[in-house]
Amino acid sequence: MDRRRFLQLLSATPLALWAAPAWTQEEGAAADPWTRTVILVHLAGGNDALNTVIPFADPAYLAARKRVSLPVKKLHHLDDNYGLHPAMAPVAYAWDTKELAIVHGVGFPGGPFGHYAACESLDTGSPTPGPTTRGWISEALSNVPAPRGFALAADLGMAGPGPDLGAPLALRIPGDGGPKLARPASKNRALDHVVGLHAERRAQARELWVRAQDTGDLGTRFPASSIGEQFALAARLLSSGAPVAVMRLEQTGYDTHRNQLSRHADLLGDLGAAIGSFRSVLLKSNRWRNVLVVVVSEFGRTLAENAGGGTEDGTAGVALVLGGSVRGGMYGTPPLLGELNDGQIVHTVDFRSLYGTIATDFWGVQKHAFSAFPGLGFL
Amino acid sequence: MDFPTARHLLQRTSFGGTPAAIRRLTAKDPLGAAQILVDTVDTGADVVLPEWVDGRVRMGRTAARGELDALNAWWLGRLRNAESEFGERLVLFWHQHFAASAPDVPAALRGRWHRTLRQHAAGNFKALLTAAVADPSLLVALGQADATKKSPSPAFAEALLSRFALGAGQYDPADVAAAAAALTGWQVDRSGKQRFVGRAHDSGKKMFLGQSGRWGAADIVRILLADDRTGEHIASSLWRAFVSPDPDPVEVSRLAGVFRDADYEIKPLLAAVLSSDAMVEPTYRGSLVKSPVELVVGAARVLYLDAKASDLAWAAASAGMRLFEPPVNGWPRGIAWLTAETLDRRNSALGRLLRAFASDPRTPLGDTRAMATWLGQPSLAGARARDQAMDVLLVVRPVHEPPEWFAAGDIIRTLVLDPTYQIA
Repeated sequence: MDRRRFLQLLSATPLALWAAPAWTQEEGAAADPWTRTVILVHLAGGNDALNTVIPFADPAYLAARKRVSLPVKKLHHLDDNYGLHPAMAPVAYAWDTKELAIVHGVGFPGGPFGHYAACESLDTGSPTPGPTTRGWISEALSNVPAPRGFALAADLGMAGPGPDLGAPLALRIPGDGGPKLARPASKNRALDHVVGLHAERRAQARELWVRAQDTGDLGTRFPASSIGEQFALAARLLSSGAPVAVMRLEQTGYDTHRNQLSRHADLLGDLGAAIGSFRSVLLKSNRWRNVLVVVVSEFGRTLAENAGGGTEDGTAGVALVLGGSVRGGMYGTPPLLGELNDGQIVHTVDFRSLYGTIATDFWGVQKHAFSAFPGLGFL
Repeated sequence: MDFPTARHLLQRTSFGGTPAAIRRLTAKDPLGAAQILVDTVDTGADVVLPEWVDGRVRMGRTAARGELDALNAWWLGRLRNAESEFGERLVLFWHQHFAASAPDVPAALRGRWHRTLRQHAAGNFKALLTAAVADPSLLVALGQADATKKSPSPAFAEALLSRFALGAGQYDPADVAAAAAALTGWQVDRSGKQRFVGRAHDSGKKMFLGQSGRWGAADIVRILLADDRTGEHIASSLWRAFVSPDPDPVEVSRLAGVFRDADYEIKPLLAAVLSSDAMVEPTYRGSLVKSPVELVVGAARVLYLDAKASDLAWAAASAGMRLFEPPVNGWPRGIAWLTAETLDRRNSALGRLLRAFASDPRTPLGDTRAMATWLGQPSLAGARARDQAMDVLLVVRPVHEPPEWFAAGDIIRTLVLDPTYQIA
């Protein structure tokens, strides 16, 4: 984007985007991907699916988890077989109101993969991503030209090198927007030029952030943790009409090889509270139907617990999908815990089914890279 | 020479230096190093191109995408692995200098021209220019292939004067017309071979650069080579490619003199450019912008990324550069390469390339030990490793300095994705 177009982005052209975002479009109208936002939450490190949505009636679970398990009585019972982690009360509430879809057994063929490779697969939607594999969001939206000034994705997560989701805008918390760009002009035109371009991009991200800060009192408290702040910023960005298709959030710490129970409870407690606050803000502003919160992790953990009160890196995991347009319920097939492959849980739902369902049913894109994978029907 | 000078020399004459290569070079003095570069340059005159390049050619249709991609990947594979990096840089220089492509130039003809370039790239410019004027791929690309006395084609003459020989602004429109008339009749037949068609040739008198005669193609080349400005243009282009975006007029004129005295032998000119004071002058460091090919090949070579040629080709293409398919007037130069959008695409391509090798133990990306090995130190971590990686990969301090506690892969990733990595 040249300077002129960039200025247009910030001023004239996308006024329509800023002033009257089409969030309020009539229900039932054909979905326009650019009016609906996915809040993609990555639980980094490999979340223990079995202690998030607990198969408390499965004898294999009870037999394997002697220490790293939760008292059945305390669970939020979802049905006769499954319970939600006790720390996730707001998410349990969304279950009761049928706004929560639980997708069992999500993974990729093969594995187990290392964290790095698994994150690559998660980002790309490819079990064997290479250097030319694009991000899954790029693939899902490649047939739908983005309106001017629209970014495919904004990364609200970590300040370190993040994944490439197609066209990332490096939005950062807490609004570091003022990166040290004020390099004195050098005698080197090439250097000044490239640093200037970089500054433009950062300024663009900062502009989004500044507009988000202007959205006034959210009227709801968010947890003071990183994930809480990220959800609060996402809510503000949505209120300001930020032209971004996907906001990516990240919560780290799920690699629980030791002392899992208390750490996991803290993490899920934070996550649940943040989701609850986010939902309540969006319900109030009538945007909940046009937002899809998708919680995934690069993989789950082993059924077996280890001697340190933790679990090892696993394979299949669970995805939580929340939103005003979600048809609450259980989706996919729960993996058979009695039939492990080399100690690992065998996935039953391909991540690409999840991505395809979002593309087709949420964004309304009929032809995309994941069309061949069966839809899950949670929308 | 010191480390930054050695790094700079390698940045300009190869695709950047690995820590080991830079350190090796510090043992030499700049003049000696320049001489060795020129003495050992290998432009791959005997390369083996895909077999179909010498097969049957079908004219008059759009070049096959698969063949173009194959050529592009073939060269990227060579750029990644060739022993003589300077040789490849030189071929890239001439590829850009004689940039001319059109959709209907068969891939095979482009491949043959490429071989011709390699044969002359470090040879004699007279032979190179003569070959260019007779080359079917250039003739077709610039509309010369079917030019006749009645309808001459100014495009080829214009390119010849403004880019191949004299330089922009050194001639009148009448000179272009005269050259176009003189070049009529040199056509390309249906099998892709160049031929002279006498009845299409304009044998009348022409006034070209102040000289009058019944000039033909050979005369035009002769007159151009006799003109001092041709040598200056080549010297100035080499300066722009290897030294800085603003050629020093005094130096250019000196270099052009060397070029003429050597009867257009290219090696003495290269030696003069590489051993000029400007080559080691700190002011010029970082004044050039890497082309996409230089960028991805550089990352692959310096960081030991064993990337497939087709992946490198994809990365360069996504940043706007497909070898064998230059835009009509050549690729952008310098800062014209970079817009906010192309910078995004460059970084996206680099980022994916790095991630594909993040856990490859042969690269410095894997862990502290791999990075120490790359840096040539038995063990090195923390701020010192970070600082040394910075000195190898960047010519100035980065905009975003990676914290020293970053993992090896994240340090390198942060440096490679820093905007300052784009300059050379």
